[in-house]
Amino acid sequence: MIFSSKEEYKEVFEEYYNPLCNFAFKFVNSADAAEDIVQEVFVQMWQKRNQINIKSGIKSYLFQSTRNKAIETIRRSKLKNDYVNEELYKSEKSYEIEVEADNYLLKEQLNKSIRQLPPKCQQIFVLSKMNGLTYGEIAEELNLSVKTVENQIGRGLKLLRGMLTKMRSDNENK
Amino acid sequence: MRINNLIARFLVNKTTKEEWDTLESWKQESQTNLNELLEMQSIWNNSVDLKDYKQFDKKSAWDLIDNQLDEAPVQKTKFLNLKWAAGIAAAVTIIMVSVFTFSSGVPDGFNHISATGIIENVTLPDGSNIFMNKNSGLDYASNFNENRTIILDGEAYFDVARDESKPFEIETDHAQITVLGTSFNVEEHGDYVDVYVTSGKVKVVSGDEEVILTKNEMVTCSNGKISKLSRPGRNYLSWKTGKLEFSETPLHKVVEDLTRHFNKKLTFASSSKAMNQPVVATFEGEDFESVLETLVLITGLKYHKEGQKYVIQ
Repeated sequence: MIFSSKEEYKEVFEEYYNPLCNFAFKFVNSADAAEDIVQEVFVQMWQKRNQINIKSGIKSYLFQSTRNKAIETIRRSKLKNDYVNEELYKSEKSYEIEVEADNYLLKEQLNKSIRQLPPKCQQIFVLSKMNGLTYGEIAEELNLSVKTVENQIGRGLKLLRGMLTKMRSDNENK
Repeated sequence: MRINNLIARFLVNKTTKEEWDTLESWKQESQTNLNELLEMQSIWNNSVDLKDYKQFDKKSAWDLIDNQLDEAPVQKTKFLNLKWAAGIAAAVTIIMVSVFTFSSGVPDGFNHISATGIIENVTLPDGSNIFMNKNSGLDYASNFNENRTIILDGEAYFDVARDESKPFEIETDHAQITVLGTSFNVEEHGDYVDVYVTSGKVKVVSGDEEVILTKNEMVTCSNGKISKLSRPGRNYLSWKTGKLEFSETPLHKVVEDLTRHFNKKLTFASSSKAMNQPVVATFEGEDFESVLETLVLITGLKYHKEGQKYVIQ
């Protein structure tokens, strides 16, 4: 794994930083701790860029290292018992880092796409999925008809699908 | 009713029989429609997890690590940072594990030093400094200032004072090591000896073969044959520093290092497929069980105890 320049490294950082922080957060349950972990992972990967032969690819390396560091952090933490959460036990079993990594990268893409939706459409989509409101409740909240809400949901999904398809083909052409 | 509305209602199971039929026939109109519906459904289902998905400040984070990336050396050489090595012109690192002199007594013209329960730090007459691991013994020539010859039984870390007119030599069953320059490791097992140079130059002779090693080179000597190892391990001084570091190290190498460091029996179950799983971890001053607990946590594996033996599944 050789990065020809720091610019190239920054691209990798931009792509993975946020999903990795979210991944780390699941373990340590603290945004600051999660960021510390991921930053350390990136500094170390840079230092070792000529030493490490990453057969499994950058994605797996980053997620595996983040996971290991998160677990180390938990172990060293005095708040051990508070921090050890469900996620940790889940992953103690047959852990598929690759699947988990793809899952977080998809979340990242979705999140990015949702923020690119037209404002009204975005607002309705967020109220529905993130806030868990029914179409009726959203209609009431925003003083719209239920039909309009439904239409915006359908439209939003269509737009999201288009954006995700484009991201996927962009990634393949990289 | 528009298709957008139909899909939206379908996703929350609110379609009437009539609406359901309309959507069904739309779906069957074309493969494109079908795919569209399936993908929209998958986006819908995945979006529910986004509730807790956070936005971290990428830009600040990059600014934070940017400087560290500038200064970061491409390779870290921990061995060279040892404080006490700085005061001596030439440092030599030697680790040997051997069994050949202990039982046969101290040879004539040699003095004996031993470390039983603890790691000993001793200074030889020429100013060379030595850390001896537990249960190790060392013989050095009585006229050491003239004849710098060492016979080691066990494991030790040498920090050798430079004196080019008087070569510093270490004898083992499988190789003779002569210090030409600065630092290296020697680790002797029952039937072979490993020499690992951390800096400078070292000559190793085994049988008819001879090799000069420089920084980061490592050989194994056995039965008069010298063979070069491509990737020296990182934890040769762990017994002295108490620190074990693994970065993308295959699990079987980790197990090898732990076995040596803790002097415990740790193996894989024959059915285990985890031998090459990469491990990233640092352990410092921890006991064996605690390290093992972490290791299984990191790898998601299990272990059990069979008498004195620990078996990874």
